[in-house]
Amino acid sequence: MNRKWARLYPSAWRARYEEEMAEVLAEVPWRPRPAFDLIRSAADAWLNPPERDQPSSGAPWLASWATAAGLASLAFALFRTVAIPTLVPAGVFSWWWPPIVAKSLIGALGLLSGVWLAWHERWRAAAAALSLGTVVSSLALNWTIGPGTPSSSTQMVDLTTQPYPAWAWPAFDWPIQFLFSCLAVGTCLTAVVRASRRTRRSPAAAAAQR
Amino acid sequence: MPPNLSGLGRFADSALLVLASLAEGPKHGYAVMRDVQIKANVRMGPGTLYGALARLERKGWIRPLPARDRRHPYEITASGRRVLREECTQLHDFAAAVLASRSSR
Repeated sequence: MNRKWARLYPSAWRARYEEEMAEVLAEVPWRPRPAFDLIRSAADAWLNPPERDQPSSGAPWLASWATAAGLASLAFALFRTVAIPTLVPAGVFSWWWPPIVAKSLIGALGLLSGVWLAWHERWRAAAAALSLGTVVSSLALNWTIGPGTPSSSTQMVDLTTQPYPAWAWPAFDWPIQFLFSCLAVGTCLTAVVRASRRTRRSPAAAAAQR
Repeated sequence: MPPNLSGLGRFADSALLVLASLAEGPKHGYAVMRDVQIKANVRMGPGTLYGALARLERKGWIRPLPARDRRHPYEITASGRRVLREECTQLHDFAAAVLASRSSR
């Protein structure tokens, strides 16, 4: 197997194990099963790094779930925007489509930045980025499909007046946003608690634990 | 409570096999994979192998030796041997209990 598979792992992990793992990979023929094993183990290395203090706080897991939920909700909003364009006049659709995409991308960027910062244990910045991602993503969602679309001032279309399919409104929107927000808030709280515990722990205890 | 492998999550079984392999002497990663496949008939993937090695090293149950010919051998530590003995004793007791219950029917 090609040593490039080791690039799936976090940089800290690679700094320690990449060279010797490359020697092992060179001996292993390419097969789907070892490839799947590498992908699974790399995901595990990202989420549960062995070099972390034990027990793990679970913050990376929460951050990952928050990101997944946020991206899923954004994808859902964009799917509805794209999949049912016939419900929106073509000219108006093309007018308000770019800002929604821009906000969605900013929200996704904020969420991913939060996860990255949480991974590097920069908790305050992670909490800020996750909050920013949450707010921007929610704004993008609300302006896309929410009931408060400002149709008069910005000439955006209030989709709630359109003939939505019965399944689409409001059954999916708010539970998804609620779940997403809860996960993001939970991530931030966990980060803060973990940061406070790390602050309280003395250097001697930390060294002993290592 | 003595240290055990249960804290290693999905890598616990693999870690036991790695410890058992290293109990015979220092080995590098690929040699451990081959040894486990031959003796336990378990095909351990490279990701699982290094997940287990990283956790065992973190626990102090194995330690890396200086590289030889670009290979990086590991050896089991005294605490690793204690953990291996404890795990094997538990497995032995479990197997003995199961066999006893089957033979008593």
